[in-house]
Amino acid sequence: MAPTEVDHCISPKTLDFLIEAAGLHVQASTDKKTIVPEWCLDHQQPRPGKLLIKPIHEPAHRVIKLCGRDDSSWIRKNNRYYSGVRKPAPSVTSKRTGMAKNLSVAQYQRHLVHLMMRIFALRTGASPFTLILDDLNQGSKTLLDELFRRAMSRNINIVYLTFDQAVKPHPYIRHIPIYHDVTGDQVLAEIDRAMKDFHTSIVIVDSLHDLLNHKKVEMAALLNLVAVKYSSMLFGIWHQDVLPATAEADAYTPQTLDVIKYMATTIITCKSFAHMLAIKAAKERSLPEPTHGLLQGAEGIVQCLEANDIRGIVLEAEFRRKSGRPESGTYFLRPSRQSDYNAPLPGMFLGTLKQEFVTLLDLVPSYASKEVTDMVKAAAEEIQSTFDLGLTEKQKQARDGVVLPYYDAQKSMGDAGEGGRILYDMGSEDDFDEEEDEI
Amino acid sequence: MPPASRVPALLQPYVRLPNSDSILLVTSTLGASTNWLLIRFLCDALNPVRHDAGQKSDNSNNDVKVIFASWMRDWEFWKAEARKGGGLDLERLKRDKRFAFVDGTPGHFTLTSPDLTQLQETVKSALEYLNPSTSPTPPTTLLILDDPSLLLATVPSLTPSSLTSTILKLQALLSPSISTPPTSSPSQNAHAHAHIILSLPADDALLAPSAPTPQPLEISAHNILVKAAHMSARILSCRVLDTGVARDVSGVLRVTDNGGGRRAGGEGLLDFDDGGGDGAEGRTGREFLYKVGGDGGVRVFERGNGGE
Repeated sequence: MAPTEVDHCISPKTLDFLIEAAGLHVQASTDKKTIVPEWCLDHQQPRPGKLLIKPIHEPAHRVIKLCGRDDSSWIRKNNRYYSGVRKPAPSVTSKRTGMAKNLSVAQYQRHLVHLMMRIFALRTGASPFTLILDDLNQGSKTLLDELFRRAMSRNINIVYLTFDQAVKPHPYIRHIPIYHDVTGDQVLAEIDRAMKDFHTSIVIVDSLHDLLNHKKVEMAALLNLVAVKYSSMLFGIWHQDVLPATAEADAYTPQTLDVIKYMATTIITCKSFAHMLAIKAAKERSLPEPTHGLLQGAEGIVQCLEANDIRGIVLEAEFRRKSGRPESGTYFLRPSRQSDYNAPLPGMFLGTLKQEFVTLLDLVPSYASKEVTDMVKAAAEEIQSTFDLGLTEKQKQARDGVVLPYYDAQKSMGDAGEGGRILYDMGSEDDFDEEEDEI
Repeated sequence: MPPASRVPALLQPYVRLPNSDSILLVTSTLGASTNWLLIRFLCDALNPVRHDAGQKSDNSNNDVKVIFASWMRDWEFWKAEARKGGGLDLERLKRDKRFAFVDGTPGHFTLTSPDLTQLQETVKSALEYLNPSTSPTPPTTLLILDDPSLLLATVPSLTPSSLTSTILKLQALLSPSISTPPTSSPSQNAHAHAHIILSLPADDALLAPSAPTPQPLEISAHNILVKAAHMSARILSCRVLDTGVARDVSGVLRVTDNGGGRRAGGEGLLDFDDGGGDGAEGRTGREFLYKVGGDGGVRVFERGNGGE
């Protein structure tokens, strides 16, 4: 292998100077290599192993592994738990040691997608407490439905605590309605009961605000129960547009949201896809980000027109790794289709997931492609007016129906060839002078 | 004029009750009241023509029973409004046990205190009046709550959470599929649903917290609206025209869909909507202009299509 530039950054001339400066007597006849000190030898030998920038060998075709119908790594086999001692889940330690390597863009993107995939695959230890922040502009319903499906597909027990919905989403789900008159301790006991007979469960709280503020459940007690005792995943939904109640007694305690943000291992913020497009267009024109919905400030507007985009949901995620390293990415989750899942095994409601479809927002063609951006930009450049300058179908018809003046003059031009004839009837007050108007 | 034709064609799909248990939110501002809209909901629910000529036969043997609870306006007002705007004879519907009114004034099902448990009891007795236990099939019920946020102002200790909890409890009370699992008798309960229409004010004065120290009532009014909006499947908000007063426009109606309809009936989670997400626009909301006439009639039209 040829010596690289790095190895030649000390030229022989410099080396001689260095040797002289070091006070070494060098005889011209002697080979330099024999007498130079050891630290100098390093510079003379090309060392292929010490390249600072490594060439990246990308495989030409990545083999995409499709999940089988009865993939044992996907489905949690024998999830039912009957008796005995509950062992803590084996802790997963990273095999890689040392400093993080420099990654190419493609590798980095894959790494970020992988982080999110672990959350969506509900892997134990991926994130004990995931906080989901949503608002009226983009609810977390799409995300929640997807989590339900993944858990059903993986044969994982679902415990769903709800303040917002009286309707049970699916018979498989253990639905705990907490809008009834139950105390916080009863809620915890109910969760315990619902998780007892399964190895792996997920607990989804909708919403945390009510559970912590209304039922006065301690977040630490809940986390201790779900994440420590049953080593399962806790998902908490927080509606960002619910204002915190101000009480004078606890003026010095931090807000509940701040506390749980501190405790969360992953924070996912839901955004509307249409709004992300608008924000992108505004950024490219160096305009301030547009506001929507309740923030818009128009009286009487509760939800904006582009809320809950049906094309998919944008998730801004922040991962707090075990190592303490924070990482964040913006993802896109489209609504899942029947074809994303294999046929279910007997006894299950939903088959295994064929292939993960959570992706980075930058990789979504309809977000990244230039045509879309141009279209959004063009829409933003339209004259901002309260009047609709476009024409409706009815207006178009009305406009087509208008007969212009002198229309018959234009028409007769083709027939009789008397083009340019002025259609004017002389009135009594008109004074026509033959001499003046002589042609 | 039969009540069916009182509902403008553009509005028709949005006042039709969904095919599963649902909560719908209707918001008003001071300049744009929603009385006309609530009447249109009544027209659609109580109109017998709908069940004969409906697109499906799902409600053919199931009457919709309506319980109307109003904190702001009394029985006489709604009776007059329904006759004028919707051509409905509420007095007769009440005798036919299809309609019940919960009110603060004595005479019908009466609320004598702002206590929430009393509200539950009263709605329960109204339900028993409409649907005696002898009836073989549970009916589809519609509960309209006109401005329950008034309670927040009258009872300082009441929190928005307890109010929304009560609303969900009421839904559980009305819905046969929530109180009993749908698997037990699917044939009987399949087409009977419980719907709640919440009418709340969305004025800035009530919602925007004043700086620097917002009042508890402002926060409560804001939170009840936001929570209700999160809970509901469809939001219909009326507001005045952004550009000012116009002679031929009463206000703007914005309808947004929260996608809550999918979430019910047990199997909704696994009903995949293949290819539905490929829409070019992806938006779920629509806006119309409306004009309430002096005779109670309503014209609903799209922007730029009015002016006749």
